Amino acid sequence: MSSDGLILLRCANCGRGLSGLPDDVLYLCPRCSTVWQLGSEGLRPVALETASAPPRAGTVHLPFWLVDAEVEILRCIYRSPESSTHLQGPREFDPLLPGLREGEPSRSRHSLLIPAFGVDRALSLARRVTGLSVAFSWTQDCPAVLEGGCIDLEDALRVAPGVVLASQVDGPGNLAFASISVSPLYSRVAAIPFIASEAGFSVAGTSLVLPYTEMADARAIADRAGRN
Amino acid sequence: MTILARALTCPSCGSPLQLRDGDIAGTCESCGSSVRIRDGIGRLVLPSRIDGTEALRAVRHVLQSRDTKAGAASSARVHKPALYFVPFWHVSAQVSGFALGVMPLWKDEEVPVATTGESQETWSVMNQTRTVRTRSGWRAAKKEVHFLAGVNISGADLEALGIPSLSDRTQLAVTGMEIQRNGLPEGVEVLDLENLGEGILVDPSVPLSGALAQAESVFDRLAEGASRDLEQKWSSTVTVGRRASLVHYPLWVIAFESDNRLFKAVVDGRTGSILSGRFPGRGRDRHVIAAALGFLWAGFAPFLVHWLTFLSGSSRGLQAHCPLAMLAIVAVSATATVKLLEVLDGIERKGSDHVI
Repeated sequence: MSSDGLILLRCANCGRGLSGLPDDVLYLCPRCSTVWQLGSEGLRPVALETASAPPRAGTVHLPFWLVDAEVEILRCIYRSPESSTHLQGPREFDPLLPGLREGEPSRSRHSLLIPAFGVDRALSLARRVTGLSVAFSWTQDCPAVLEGGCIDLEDALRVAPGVVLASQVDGPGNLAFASISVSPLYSRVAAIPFIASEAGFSVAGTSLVLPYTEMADARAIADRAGRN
Repeated sequence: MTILARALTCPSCGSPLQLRDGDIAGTCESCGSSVRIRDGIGRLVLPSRIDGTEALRAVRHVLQSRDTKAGAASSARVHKPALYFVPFWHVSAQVSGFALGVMPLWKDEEVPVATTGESQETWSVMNQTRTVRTRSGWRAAKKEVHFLAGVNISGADLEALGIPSLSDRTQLAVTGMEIQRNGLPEGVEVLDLENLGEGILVDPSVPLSGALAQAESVFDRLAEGASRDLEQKWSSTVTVGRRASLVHYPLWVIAFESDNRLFKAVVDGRTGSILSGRFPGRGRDRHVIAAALGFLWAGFAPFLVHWLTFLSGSSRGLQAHCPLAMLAIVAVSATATVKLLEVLDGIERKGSDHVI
């Protein structure tokens, strides 16, 4: 609902007031489990899925964008791991350089998890959480709090090719160049449970730790989650 | 922008909303509803830590220094200090991507150094060696480009006040100011004109779109710099989550008159240091010295010419009024005059105002 240049932060489904951090664009209604994305035109509903986790003290749900997408690797070029040439190559990449190997174009369907909160190593985190997502079981349960969502869907879709690139970079071969196209099919917000520890937010049962220092609103998120 | 917020009413209950001038969100005190201003830009302020008296004291301190004209502190007629809150755009964003390329490999080799023998004529190879680094190849490399960065862009041209601008082209440190090219200093508050006290809020002359474009350029440069050591580089980076706010920074501008001339100094409202200013220098004293020297030379020159003429006339080898001797005397006098003028010009130049 909006008027006079003001947007009323209220769930249009159940009427409950919405709250969040100052830079948030994602608001969760804890009563009816609807997530709202704030834009210039007002609030727009977004579907929510929650990765289930056994109840545990210090659990904090962090918002991610879960994007089902058609990923097309249009072109990828690999180089050898090393060379003993004494000659200095060009400063910028040139596909005509000798010793490069062209990879096979491919097309596949992926579910990408992209952090919806401000984080330093967004691509690494996205790649790792996307890798873990096969072990997640998704529910319609509503987390008590889901704050810190300051990246809107438009921005998340701009990050998506980078997440695919991150997996290609960490894959076999030494990637030198890639042209990637991501066509989103279905997007929703995913609440991923993390455990607040001394070192940072970690995913239970994995070695994934997200240091507080790498997050934009870590303190505020932890404080708000601790109060609920 | 957010100035309108004061006249806004709650869309839920119709009660007037009590928002500060810099707020982009708030809560209705009547019904508890949360509201956000559509496309609102947060306005922040750094309150001045010093008052007008302290700003004047800083200026007086400079007027009493050795670089300024003696007695300037007591004779200067100081105008009322004016506090301006000058605008800076603060743009923050998350930059992420990858840079792929190769890292050169280097090989260190100890090579004997050829030095000259004792005779200085024969070359001999001594036991001394030198480390020579040669390129031995490369290995494939990848770098994740990632940072949560904030950048400050001047919202108004402060060059007239002698303060360098922060822009995408000039991201130099601003000496003496708390606000620098990135990050926000401690003590930033949401703008609230009612509680701000005195001071003039300067509106930005650089539009938000211009500031965002400049910030984007800085982010691109930072991303480029993060992988500058790679060769055969290909990179892909994306900037997301851009947030912009307008930060007002306090500057005291103090004008004063001395010797019928108007001077101006800018004092940082946070640190209390003089950021820029022009003060009456010891130049007036130097003008007097230069003038005195000029008069002395003007009075002394005819006697010198007469004396030289007398000397040349009394010499055995020269006839009185010999054209060559006269020419030499004129040349010596002219050269001396030119040299003296150069010296006086130097004195005059040094004698200009004391500028910070």
